Amino acid sequence: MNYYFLLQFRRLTRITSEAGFHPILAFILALLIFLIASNLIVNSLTYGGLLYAGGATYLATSSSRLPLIQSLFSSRQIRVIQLLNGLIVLFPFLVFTMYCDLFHETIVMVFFTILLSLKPNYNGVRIPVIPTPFGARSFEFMAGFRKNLLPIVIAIALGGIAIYVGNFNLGVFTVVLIWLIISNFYSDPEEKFFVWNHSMDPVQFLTYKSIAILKYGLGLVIPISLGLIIIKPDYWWAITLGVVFGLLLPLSSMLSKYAYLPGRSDSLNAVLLGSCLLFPPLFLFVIPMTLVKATRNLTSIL
Amino acid sequence: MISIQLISKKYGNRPILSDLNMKLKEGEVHGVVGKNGSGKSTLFRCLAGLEQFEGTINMDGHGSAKNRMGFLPTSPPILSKITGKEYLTLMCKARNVRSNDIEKRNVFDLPLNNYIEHYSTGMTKKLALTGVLIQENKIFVLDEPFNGLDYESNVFLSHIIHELKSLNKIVLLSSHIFSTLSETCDYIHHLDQGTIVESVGRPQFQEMESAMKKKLVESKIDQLSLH
Repeated sequence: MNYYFLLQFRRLTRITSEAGFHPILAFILALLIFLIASNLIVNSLTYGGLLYAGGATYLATSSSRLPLIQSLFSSRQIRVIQLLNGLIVLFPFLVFTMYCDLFHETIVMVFFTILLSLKPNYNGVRIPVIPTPFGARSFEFMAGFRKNLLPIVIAIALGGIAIYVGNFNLGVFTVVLIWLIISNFYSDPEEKFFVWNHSMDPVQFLTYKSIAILKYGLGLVIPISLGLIIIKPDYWWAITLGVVFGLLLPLSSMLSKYAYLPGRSDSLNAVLLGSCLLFPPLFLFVIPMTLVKATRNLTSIL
Repeated sequence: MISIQLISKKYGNRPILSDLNMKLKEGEVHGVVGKNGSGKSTLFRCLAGLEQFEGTINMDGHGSAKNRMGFLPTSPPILSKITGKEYLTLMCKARNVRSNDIEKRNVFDLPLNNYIEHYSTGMTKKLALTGVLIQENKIFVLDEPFNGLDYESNVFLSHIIHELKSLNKIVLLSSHIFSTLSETCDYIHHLDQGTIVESVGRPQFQEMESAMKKKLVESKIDQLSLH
């Protein structure tokens, strides 16, 4: 079991090295990003502390469900690994919430992390197929919806609460959250075979992928946005602008995926996308650049 | 007709395919044999356009035959959280062919409403094979299609290949099961170190098989020094 954690540490250092960062530099950068993001969520949002605790618990408990450990260790060992994994991931979040005197949130995080880490794994049990409102043309939305069902349900529920109680900031946060979840649908590289299979040229292929984002992404975001316009009609322009800029996030994420296929996008691209989040007009520079790269990359496959 | 001329492929400095030539005509079934690492899968991936290479592949005078080609990789890739039916629909829609009768065309009786990740290796192979067959392709490049299939499916697949031949399709396949190759293929090509060292018709294949067996036994059994 000790060797398992040693291997995890080695994997982490290799991933950061391959991404072009010295592990110590990567640690400092990650710490900085963590502190800025934590501060933004906890101090700028209504119910920020609770959202922070929920997000941290999700991260801490979803990281260790690897088929590999299930095939190597006994059930008891798996639970111990999951618990330790969860607590290691949770540690920086715990330090931050305790520093901010968020004791209730700290207790919630620890309690749910322990509870979810110790729950048994139901190997071999067939999980029923979750129906999706998306057509078979876009497998990213079908698979992404099923994989991220809980965050999507939470985001939509939060959107509903925001509209019901008239909390505009929470509503805007929900819209951003949905766009982030949709962007995540495009985070994993795809097998070249599934791209090759299309009878399209690169431009047609990217157009059809963009249309899927436009159609299905807006389908998820527009109901909440309309609700927000109803409760804050004066801010219709800000909401519309938010929806349009939000749309650019999964769009650039999709283009990045195909620009770097069959591998993952590099650290520079991740920094660029992150910068776009902080300064949305950057999208106008990043999207055309990624589009050219994706078109060139797909030419050899399509 | 597909004409493969002087294909070469290297991974770094290591040659995988060297000046390989082949001609495949409509209504012909071609088999490729060779030991592991001889370049069969790389050749198939080059033919599909999934690998870059030196040389030329022409299909009726055109550079690429991709949109008329069905490709079955050795280990078909799967998509998680996608059902069999959704996978087949995706395969059809990607090629703009009809997808309304997928359940009727489920010849391997797969549980199409289950997630693919719950399928066994053989079921995944059958699903990928069904996907390639329902795409209404003209050329079929099948990398070890019999591998992992049960006896019934093996027999059925042999019949499917005969049917494709009668429909004037071009089939190129690889297999390590010589009896299946001699039953299904019109021509068999022996690939060794990235080059076709021998191409024979079906009648001569058994002779080639005996020669290969003899060579293998002579060279390897001594090396093993069994007591």
